[in-house]
Amino acid sequence: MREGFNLRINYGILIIFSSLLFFPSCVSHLKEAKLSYAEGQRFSREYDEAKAVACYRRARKEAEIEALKNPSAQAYMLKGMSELKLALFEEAEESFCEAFNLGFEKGEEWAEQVSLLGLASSLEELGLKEASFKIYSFLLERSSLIEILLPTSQKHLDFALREALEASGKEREKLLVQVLKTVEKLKEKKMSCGYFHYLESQVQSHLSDFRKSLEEAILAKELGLPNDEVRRDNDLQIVFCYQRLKTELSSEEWEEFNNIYLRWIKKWKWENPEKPEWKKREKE
Amino acid sequence: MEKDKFEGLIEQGVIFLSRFLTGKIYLYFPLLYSSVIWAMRRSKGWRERIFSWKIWLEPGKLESKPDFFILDFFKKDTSLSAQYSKEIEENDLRELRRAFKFLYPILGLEDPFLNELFQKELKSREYQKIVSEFRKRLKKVKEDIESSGERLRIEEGLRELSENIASLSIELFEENEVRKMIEKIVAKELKRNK
Repeated sequence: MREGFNLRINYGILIIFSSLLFFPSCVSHLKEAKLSYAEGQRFSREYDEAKAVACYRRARKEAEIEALKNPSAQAYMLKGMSELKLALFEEAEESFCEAFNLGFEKGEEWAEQVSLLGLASSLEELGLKEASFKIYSFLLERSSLIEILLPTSQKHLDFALREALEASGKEREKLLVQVLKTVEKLKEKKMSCGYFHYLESQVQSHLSDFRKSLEEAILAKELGLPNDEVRRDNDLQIVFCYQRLKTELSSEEWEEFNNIYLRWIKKWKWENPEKPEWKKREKE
Repeated sequence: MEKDKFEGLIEQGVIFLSRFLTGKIYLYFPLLYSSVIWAMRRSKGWRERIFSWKIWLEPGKLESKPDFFILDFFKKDTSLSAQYSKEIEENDLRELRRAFKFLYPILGLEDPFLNELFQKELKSREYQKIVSEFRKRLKKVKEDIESSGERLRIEEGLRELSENIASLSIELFEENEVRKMIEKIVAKELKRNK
């Protein structure tokens, strides 16, 4: 297994390994599938959907060949993950179930949890929302892997927030407070994770606490977020809170707040308080 | 000088795409533009990062936004608020949320691929048309790329184009300038095909 590949190996071996990587005939289908999947994720992060789809297709094909030649839980896990990205949810569900049937080897806890998360996502897309929510809750409670906690928390919170939005009045508020408690627990697990602060910012905004929401969004921005989509969404949350506070605060409070806010946007090189540096479109 | 080289590369890109995606000129702009943007933000070291061979699912943004975030999104844009005035007036959040799902990635997050795909509607401010055609159009893009039968060659060609562009001092250009240059070259191809 190559999972434990150590970057500290000597330079010579690294060169040999790297050169092998670039000759597809010498690389196993499993590695080729992982490489294509990772490449697909990179294109997705850069908003290059056409190329991302092409990579996921290739990853799926390679994983399928590997699964036929040497059936393993990892091969089916990769096949399922690629199918998930290609919105082939029924096929993804089958692949993840196949992975569980084959069983994961010792030390493949990460792959088992990824498969469980993938299975929950495909079940959610196939309409089994309650079942998927239970899996997300299980993973959120049990997993200690940050890479699992990040996508799980997004899925779990989106589900919980949708439920809260369907309720009204006191019931909605009660459900939102529960969601907030979940985020606070996540932050306790890893305070320095920008994504958890992003989540809290979003939840505080649902609770109409725009000051806290803004503070959390600023923390999220400073600590770093996983991709462009989340970064931009977080920036728009900052702008939204700024606009809300403009109408809510008294003139003295506003003056004090605005001075601090202007310092932040200067640091981020924003054109103005309501226009992040990536924003090209002018509002009409 | 760099500008000439850049235009030359884009022209080659158009010729390359016309070989595989004959008659699907609407795809040229989003494919070329996103390749250029990727080249401009060239990220290094991603291959090294996957040497651990552990593959993860990535988190995305939270889809569920508060009611007033949705309302502000529609109200703060004059054209958007005019087209959705009835829904805003009636506080029809069910309908506004449905439209928000498609419009927020384009008008809010400014996804470059989607922006170029709906460039015509954005120019004419036909936002409701974007909402009604979103799924259909995105499905067509995926099908068109797949049905060309040359998906891998298209991908390789675009990757080569990105690498060539990345070798220029293109970061000195403004994104708007790049956009205009690609627009001009694709328009020329469109005219030639008429």
